[in-house]
Amino acid sequence: MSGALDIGLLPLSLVLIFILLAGAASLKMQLRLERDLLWGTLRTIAQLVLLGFVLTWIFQVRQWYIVLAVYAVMIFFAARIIRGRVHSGSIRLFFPVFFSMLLSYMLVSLFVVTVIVDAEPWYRPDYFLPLGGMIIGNSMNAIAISLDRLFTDLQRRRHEVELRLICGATARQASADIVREAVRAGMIPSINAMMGVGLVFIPGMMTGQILAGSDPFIAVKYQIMVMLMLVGSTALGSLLVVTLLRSRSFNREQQLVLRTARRTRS
Amino acid sequence: MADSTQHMESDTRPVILRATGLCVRYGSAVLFEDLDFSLERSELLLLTGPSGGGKTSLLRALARLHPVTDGRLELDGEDAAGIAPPQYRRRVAYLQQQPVVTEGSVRENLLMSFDYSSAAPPDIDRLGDWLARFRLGTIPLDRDAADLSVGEQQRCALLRLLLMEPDVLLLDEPTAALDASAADALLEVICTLHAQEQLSTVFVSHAPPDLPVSLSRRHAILADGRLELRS
Repeated sequence: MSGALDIGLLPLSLVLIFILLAGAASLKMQLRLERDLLWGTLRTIAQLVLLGFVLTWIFQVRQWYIVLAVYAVMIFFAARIIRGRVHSGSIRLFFPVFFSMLLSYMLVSLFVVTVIVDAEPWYRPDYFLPLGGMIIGNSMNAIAISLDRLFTDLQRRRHEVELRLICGATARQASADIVREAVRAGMIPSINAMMGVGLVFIPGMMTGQILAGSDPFIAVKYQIMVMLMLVGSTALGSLLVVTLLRSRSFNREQQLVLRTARRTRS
Repeated sequence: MADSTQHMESDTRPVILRATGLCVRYGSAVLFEDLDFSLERSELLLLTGPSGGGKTSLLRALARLHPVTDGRLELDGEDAAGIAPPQYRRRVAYLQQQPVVTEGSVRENLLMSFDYSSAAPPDIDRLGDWLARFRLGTIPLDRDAADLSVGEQQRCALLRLLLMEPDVLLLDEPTAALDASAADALLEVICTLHAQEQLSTVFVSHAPPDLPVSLSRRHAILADGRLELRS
């Protein structure tokens, strides 16, 4: 099999027709998305071209500390995105999320690259970074969903949590149901993806490998590994982050201190 | 809110719950500072005051549900700091203003505290006696607690606390969410119960409820950060 067919710059520029179509639809239907479409297109092109240069450089240099630094930067941005998407009220979540993701996803990535793929050296950037990126990208969504559910339910079901505290429960016992449901909510998309893979959609990694000329069955093996790895890392990351931030929602006195808005009480 | 202090000391009976120099904030706002409070053993103390005066926050602070910036709590002469919060809350039981029931049956709701303790739940006969005293005797225990009326839910919530056999009962406007007949039924239960059990109780109310004068010997008013005691 040959490698992927290269795309010339002129033919590539023709994909802008789709953006023009979307822009025209936005104008016609007064969606007011023209600026977002333009900005999104520019960012997509700029970010991916920059990524191309960075990856080319990293693949040439092949130093473990550079690979790990890039990995940490990817997690840094993921933690920032999660912070922006989750309304955590009085609870600061950036550092717990960052360090939980760094620890758990580093372990998962190392295991996959060294034990399953058997890549040499362990930090081989053309394996470590794309696989790590998939873990981070998928788990970022799962963690955001889990945390949003955690904080929403701790607020919405505050009276129930406090009732359990009144009945002699510890903070952990009083919020056990909420934590369970938060982790579950984060994991459901990954499980749904396992149900639909191969039937409803051909996953991106497999598509990429096939386009690059790989044997479809090698692509299938990689995809199986990726799907199962994502479910595991999603569960691990969500559980770790939710557990950590649950404990931050209570103080030492085991009082629920999470606040999103000031309330007035008699 | 003002930060002045009114000391409220007991005269004759021993004190079961005492707060000294209590300071409670809500965000950056000071609700009260250096506030002293005491509840005598077996008394029913009526605590009233204007809306927003800090009654709920005081009660929640006494129940160790709300953070206290400063001050000391003593339960039956013992420094509360030395008692783990779950154990303390079982001894100083707080009834929430709005009746709260969780998903599950009436039985599961009533016996919730036994999920968090090694104590044995009451047998069916004893539970039946309690239910009758709370005018809940006709309700099947396997009924969904969410199907109870609001009045029944509040009586169920009170019974749930009493099954923990607390030393102190903190009632936070227990009739506020109820209609007149449900409020009367609950008040009657509280009065009968207090007359029989002599459980040390703080009864918070926006306005003085129809409690028999003989039950409440002392009346405290919390307003502008001051606690004023009247006999």
